[in-house]
Amino acid sequence: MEPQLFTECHYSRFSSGGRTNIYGLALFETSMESGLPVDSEFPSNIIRSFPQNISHKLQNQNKSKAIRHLFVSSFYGITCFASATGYWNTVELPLNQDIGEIISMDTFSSDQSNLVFALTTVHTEGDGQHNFTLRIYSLDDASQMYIEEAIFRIAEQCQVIRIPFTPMQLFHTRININGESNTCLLLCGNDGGVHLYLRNKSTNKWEEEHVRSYFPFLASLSESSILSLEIREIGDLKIVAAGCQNGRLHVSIMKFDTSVGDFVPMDEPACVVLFSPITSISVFSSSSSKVSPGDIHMLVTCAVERAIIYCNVDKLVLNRPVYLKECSQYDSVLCSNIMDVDWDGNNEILVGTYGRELLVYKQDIDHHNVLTFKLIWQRSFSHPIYQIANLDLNQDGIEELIVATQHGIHILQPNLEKAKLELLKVLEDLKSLKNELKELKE
Amino acid sequence: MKSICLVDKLTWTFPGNMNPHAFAFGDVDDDEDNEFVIGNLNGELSVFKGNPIDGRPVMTVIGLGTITCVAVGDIKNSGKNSIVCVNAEGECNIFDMTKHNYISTIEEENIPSSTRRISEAQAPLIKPYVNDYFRLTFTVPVNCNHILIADIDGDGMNEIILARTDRILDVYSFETSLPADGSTVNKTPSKDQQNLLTRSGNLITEITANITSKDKLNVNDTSPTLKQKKKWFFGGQITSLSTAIDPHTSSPLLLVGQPGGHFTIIDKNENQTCPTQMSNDLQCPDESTEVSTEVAKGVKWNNGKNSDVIALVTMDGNFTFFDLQTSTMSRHELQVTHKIFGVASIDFVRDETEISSKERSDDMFVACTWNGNTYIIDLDFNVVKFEFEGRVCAFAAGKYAVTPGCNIPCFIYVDFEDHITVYHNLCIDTKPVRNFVELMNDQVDQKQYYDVFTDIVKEDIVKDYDIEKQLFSTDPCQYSPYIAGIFQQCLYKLDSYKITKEDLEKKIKELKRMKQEQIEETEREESNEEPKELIVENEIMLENEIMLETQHQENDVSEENQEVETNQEHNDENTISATSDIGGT
Repeated sequence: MEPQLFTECHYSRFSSGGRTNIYGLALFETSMESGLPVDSEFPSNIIRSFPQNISHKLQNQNKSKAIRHLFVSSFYGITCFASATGYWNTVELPLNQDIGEIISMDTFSSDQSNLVFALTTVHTEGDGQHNFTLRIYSLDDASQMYIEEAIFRIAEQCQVIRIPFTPMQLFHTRININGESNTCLLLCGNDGGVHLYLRNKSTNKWEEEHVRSYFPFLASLSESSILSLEIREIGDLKIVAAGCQNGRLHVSIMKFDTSVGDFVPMDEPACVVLFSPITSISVFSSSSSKVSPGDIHMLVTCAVERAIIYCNVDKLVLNRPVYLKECSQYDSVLCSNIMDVDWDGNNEILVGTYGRELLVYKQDIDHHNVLTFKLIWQRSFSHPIYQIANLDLNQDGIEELIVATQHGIHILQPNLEKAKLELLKVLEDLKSLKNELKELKE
Repeated sequence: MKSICLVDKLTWTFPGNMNPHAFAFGDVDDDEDNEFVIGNLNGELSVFKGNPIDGRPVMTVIGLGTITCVAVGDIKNSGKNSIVCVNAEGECNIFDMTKHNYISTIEEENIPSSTRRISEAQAPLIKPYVNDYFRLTFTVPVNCNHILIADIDGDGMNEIILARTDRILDVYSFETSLPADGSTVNKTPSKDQQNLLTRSGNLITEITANITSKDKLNVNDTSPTLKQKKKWFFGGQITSLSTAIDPHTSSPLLLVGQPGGHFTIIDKNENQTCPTQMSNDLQCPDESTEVSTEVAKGVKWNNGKNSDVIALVTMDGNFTFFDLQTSTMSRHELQVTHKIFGVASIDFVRDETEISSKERSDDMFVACTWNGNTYIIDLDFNVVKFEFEGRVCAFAAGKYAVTPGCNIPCFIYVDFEDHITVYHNLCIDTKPVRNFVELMNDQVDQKQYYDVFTDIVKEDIVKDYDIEKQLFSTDPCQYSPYIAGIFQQCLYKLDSYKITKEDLEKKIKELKRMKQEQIEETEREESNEEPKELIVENEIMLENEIMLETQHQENDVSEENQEVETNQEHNDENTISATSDIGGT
């Protein structure tokens, strides 16, 4: 077992009894940056009202730089962790109090909007009847805004869509409409379907469209309830997977067809029954490189069994499962995440359990030259783990690990001393290459 | 302020309400592992040892009155710790435990009738009654609420210091008289101490042990007494007791907490100083007089040497550090919503033997409020907060042996639901959120790496890198995100790093190949004109020339020419031109 891979640098507890769930976390990639200076109480300061001291735009800004911010929902509110250089700002999103309890959340930017914020909520009437709604907040022409400003602006107006089913995961993905790439919103429901929403370009309203037109595979599923959805594009492949309440896992592998100009299924969709509700699906590549991603695997977690990695899912589909044994000792596995924890350019697998344990697995090759996954680190938390994510929250070049437990967000930093040594090694390496080149040129 | 979550915990059961100071950490059974001793207002005193599976104490004594304070220490100066438990009724009970004790008490089934009633009410709670054999009872003043066991007069003997709610501080020593030779004191006080005793005008009383009926001690041999050594009166309520070491004389100091963030230092010669009141009128208490003050001592390390720092914490959140070495004070206000009541110092070194004194970190101070907010504060006033869920009746921070052989720092919370929660495996870093760019800044000779960055940056991340570079070198704190971007690229071996590296390697390979070709080409060219070997040959010729010159004086010229010519016959055609040169000279 390796020494401490990560140490907690801050724990942000949801205010007044808030709790999150497995659909309560979203990473938002944008060019909008933080406009507030570091607070003296950082990192425990919370911005609850429109910030008056927002600074003016600096010169020489590279607007194309992508920044990632973190959004987390608790039952009655949304907390945003806006990343800044050397710190972050915690903003509590001012939402109308009578929206009810938040079930799931997603946030993204599209061609029309700089910030789209989707929520599903449940409001319990006096007679005990549940009313479910999808709320979509969109903010257009905000490219010049700071993220804190945008958060307060976006809360001002929202589009409410009543939904006749219990909503599950909210998901966004890019789809091709008449040769044009568009962002659509997908919502899983207990009616067994996946619902697709698109923004009408003339009315600027979000409207439900037939999912069949874009994802015939998802439309063909006739399930009781779809709990988790994964759509991932790696290279010229697109993998669509859906996990159900009854343990069924469906997967469809598509390949980009230049003659059609879109992804087409390579084969018939595959299905396997896992006998317990599927809590999360992550399709990932063995390498963190986008240029040469390496092998493509699919990690599936479910409520009762061990987590499963379907190796080379693009070629072998569901035929080569590898089980992550240890995680079954810690109750249901609720969530997973893929990141490079040891800076070797390869992705590691992180799973979080209801039994409050975080486990990190590393890809390995056994003596039969078969791909295995080795447990390299684990850490206990005080409450069940619902979501795991990673982003560079303080923009220092190191990815923080985000663990959302029942009552709050844990921000963990990797071993920075170790990172320093590793980086120095890399820089030394580059330097000697450069020197060698210089000498050769002379 | 950073906030953290503690994970590893034990849950114990302990009933009833208690005085927030009626607990102590200490090795009560002489096995070098620290136990936790706690007493409640119903007269129950429990000892927790290790990690009990059932969460119950290893021993419980009942019927000890309204327990107000508990201490563990070597009061008998015998090298063995005793538990001292004082109640509001003026009774001081002293228990001596050994590992054998626990076993004997567990085996004892004959529970006295007086305790049976309570044991029924708390049936699952009470472990066997402690054998009176190990118990001594003395009479002390009523309403004592703080206790301390320490050597405060520097005579090498521990005293028992008791603070009363009526602002009086009493100092006792445990004496074992030997009636056989008529001596009342079996340990001769030092000369220093004798002087003190005579100078002190206070009434010295002796309390003879009220040996309980079951006691099997031979009364004829020894009759232990608590002898009063000192008695002091204070202007304000005594809110806390602690000790420290005078850094100048290395002698002990007694610290007495006074209301309003003040404290009194009493040195071994009974000189009293009030460092916090120097600016104010010493006799006139100010408006914040009512605010209770906790005093704790922490250790500060400087180049392998340690000195004591005193923390004064008022219940409304005012923190004052008093450095005994420099006699300087620093203040900090902590924003608290509830009153602070439990303050302790703790060092987070798990294994003291592993760390040399040079690497030792300073002690930290821990303060807890009634609603469970716990603040861990270092000497630079960096604060980390932990929220314990629940109202807190008593808070303790100290070293406890969860597993045998290892006293580790623990936070212990006693709640109002008859539970004790023990947090262990505490990994607490009070330093502000760390920043990788700043960390790299401290280490990296920036200039050395700018060139390295330039390649990566110019190609991928930012065009106006020079401006960024300027910014970075002038004010490293206001670092640019692009530097972080480069770090990220390099550390995570992302694509632009990979491309840069591959590009460099390709260029090197290409250049090497070109150079090699060049060399080969020149070699080929040279082989046609003037090969390398010639240079070497020329040097030999030069040497030969010198030799020839010296020889010239002795031998015939024609002879030498012949010699040279015979040598040349073995060489290839290239050397012929050289020979002709020599021939020319």
